[in-house]
Amino acid sequence: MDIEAKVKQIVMDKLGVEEAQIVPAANFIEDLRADSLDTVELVMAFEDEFGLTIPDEDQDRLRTVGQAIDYLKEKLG
Amino acid sequence: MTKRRVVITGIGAITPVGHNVAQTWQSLINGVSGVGRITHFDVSGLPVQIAAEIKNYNPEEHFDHKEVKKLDIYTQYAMIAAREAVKDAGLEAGTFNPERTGVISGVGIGGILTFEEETIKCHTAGPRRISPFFIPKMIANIAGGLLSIRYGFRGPNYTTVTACASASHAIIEAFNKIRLGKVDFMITGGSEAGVNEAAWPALIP
Repeated sequence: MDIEAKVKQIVMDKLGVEEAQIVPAANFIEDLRADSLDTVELVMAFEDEFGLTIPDEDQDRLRTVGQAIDYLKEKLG
Repeated sequence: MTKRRVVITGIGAITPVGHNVAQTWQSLINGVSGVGRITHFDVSGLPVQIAAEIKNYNPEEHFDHKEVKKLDIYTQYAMIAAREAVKDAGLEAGTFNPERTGVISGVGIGGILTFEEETIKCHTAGPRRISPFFIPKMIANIAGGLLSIRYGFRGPNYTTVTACASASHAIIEAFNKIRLGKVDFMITGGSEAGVNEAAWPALIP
């Protein structure tokens, strides 16, 4: 499974949203109704799935679905 | 000082003998026992293998996917029973003064299954893997707190933790709040979900 598909799967599972809502521009908090704790859990799920550590200072770079995918591609690339 | 009369206007229940008040009552008057072999986890090797579990419980029937993950089972039970009671009482928005409506919930422990799961994670995967929802999911007053959030109550909200007497203490506290004229409506009662792998053996002598 590629990064995008895995990210979609995690976002669906953690935020309980429909697949159609998970577009690159979707902001986790504003569009997908995540709260601050949800975003922490999302980052943890990305770390688990992709086997990397996302430092706290990088978390601001993962505000949307597209940003998360780009970030992960960059780190895993 | 005149004391107000207190009446119960709505009830709700999810119990080992029914998933609502009607089912529970029918079971009780028919002498149906709620005790059976434990299904929530593997009991082989335990000297006591029976308990009064809530049977055939499927959280997805009551909550959306995100709620199921965020709510400990004890909170789910409280919310299901409260939903039935609130409906029974006809307590709809606009029919009550939020500042004079509150919740006093009772629970002996709280989210012990969540406690168990997160503790295992802490010791196997490390502290960074603990869910940020660990504490807000397991603390004893989260069920009552979430009820006020859900229904928009802004009156008194706290939880009594006195083992098996927790719910009784909650009810008498709520009763007194109304009787003394401090509030108009209270949601009160108790819930627990303690039949799990770590808690159950601890209850067996």
